[in-house]
Amino acid sequence: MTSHREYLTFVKNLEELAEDRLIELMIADLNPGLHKYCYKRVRARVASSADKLPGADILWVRYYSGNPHPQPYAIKVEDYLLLVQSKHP
Amino acid sequence: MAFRDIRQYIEALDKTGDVVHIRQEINWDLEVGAISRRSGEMHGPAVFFEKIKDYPPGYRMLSLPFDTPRRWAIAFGLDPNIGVTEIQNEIQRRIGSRIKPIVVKDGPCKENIILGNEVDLFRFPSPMFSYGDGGRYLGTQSIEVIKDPDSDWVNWGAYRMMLYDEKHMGVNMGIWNQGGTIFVDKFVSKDQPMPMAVVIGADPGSHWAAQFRIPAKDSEVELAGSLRQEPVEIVKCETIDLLVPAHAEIILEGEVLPDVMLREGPFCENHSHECAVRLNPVFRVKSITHRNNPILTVTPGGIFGLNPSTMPAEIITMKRALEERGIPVVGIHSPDETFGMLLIVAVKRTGDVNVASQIDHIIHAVMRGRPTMIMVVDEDVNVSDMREVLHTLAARCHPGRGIRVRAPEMCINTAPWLSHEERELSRGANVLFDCTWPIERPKEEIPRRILFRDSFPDEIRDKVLKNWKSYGFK
Repeated sequence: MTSHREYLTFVKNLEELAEDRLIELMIADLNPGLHKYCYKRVRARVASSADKLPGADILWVRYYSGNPHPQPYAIKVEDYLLLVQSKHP
Repeated sequence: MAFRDIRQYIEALDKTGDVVHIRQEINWDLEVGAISRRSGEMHGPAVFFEKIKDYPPGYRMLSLPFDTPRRWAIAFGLDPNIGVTEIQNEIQRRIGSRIKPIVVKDGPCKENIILGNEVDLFRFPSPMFSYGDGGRYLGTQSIEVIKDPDSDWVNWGAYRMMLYDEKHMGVNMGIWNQGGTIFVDKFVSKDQPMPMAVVIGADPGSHWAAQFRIPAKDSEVELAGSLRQEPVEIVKCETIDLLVPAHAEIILEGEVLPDVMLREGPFCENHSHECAVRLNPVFRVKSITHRNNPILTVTPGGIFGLNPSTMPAEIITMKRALEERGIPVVGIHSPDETFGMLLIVAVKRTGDVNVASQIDHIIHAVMRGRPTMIMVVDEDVNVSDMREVLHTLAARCHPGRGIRVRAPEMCINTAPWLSHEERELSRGANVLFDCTWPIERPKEEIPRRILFRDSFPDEIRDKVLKNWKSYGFK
């Protein structure tokens, strides 16, 4: 059985998690270890349920208030981007 | 004699029984937060975590270091059993002067120096405090050191900081604090990174000084010297032109980027609610220096019913500001449960019809964003007795002319009642409850409050007290 990686993201509302295209978002890595909760910026596809995105990892969603969305989303990361995009090196 | 560092302070807490040493392995992921919160809610001791999961021996954490009046007293070398008023009076006495720091060439904070690619903020056991927080918080009991580029002014502040990755943290800094104002006015405006040092685990006097609201251009490091009654030893940073306490446990050196804001939070703030996500500046770390066996000082924030450790400093600042402007303050208090958002001021009755409004304006000019609710009462009200205070609110505050709301007004961005848009702008409202008897009402027309303590002739009162048990009372 494939084990799925788990991530966390915070949104103001679910419209930020558009399901019909690649989106860019910040996710925290929930997998155990020293770097748990380390943030990454990714380009990914998300879906409101796992069956819409077979083989995807799990994306836990919380709102800005910290309240959780009741059901996890699914996420397939296509690219990792620079987390902090500044013109100052 | 002042505490040279946090380690001497822990030894003092050991002697008075104000710290618990936990030697079994504890998980930084929620377990540290749960233990800290429970101890705080029980008004219990500080917690020293000596063994932390995933981390090598010697990497330790001190939680709730300054979070009760007993520990405030110990931090200043006072008897832990004295009251809050005595602590405030002693602090007020000490801060009347300033003691300049001493610059030293080296210090224990440089026992380990990590630069460049070796920098990894995850080398320290930053806790995930609460279920639902936005991330791990390395900065909850820290000092942020910033310099005004156009003068000699060095500002110390205390801002929460959330880990993003190995080299970046979000910093909750904005226009409601001096550091944020320097950042926006002097660095963002010129699109220049702002050098900043983060100090973790300094001596108690330095942590306290960072939390004081003192006027711009005043020196927190000199204030720390006054609080300690000895100068602070400071040492030059490795990669930036700033000076930091030489005996601190951990120093992070870097710069706040002028062109990046990332989502930071949620985090349980001093009102015991999750403070919602906000766009905040990003601190990029270039160097870490630390002591051997470093101690991370942390506090989970928002312990219900526990006065934030900033409160004595803030009360003193406000009282001084009022007295310096001729307001006849009789009492001033902020109840623990209101986390600094409600201030109650008792004044002597004067001929000035605007004394409540004057107090309102002075406080907001000095404090920038908190408190948001001020209640002004006459001198016959004990501001520390909540039954009396609530009674006064109901009995003496005219709903029509006694409540004055100002909106929009600058407001600390952590207030739970702010909308998302208000939070981004640090713009909320504040309210004044004027519970004083109107000055135009003649004294003979003011209703008499009837209390045993002041409504009977002395001889009747004394007689009743003397015979109380003989009447059959226990």
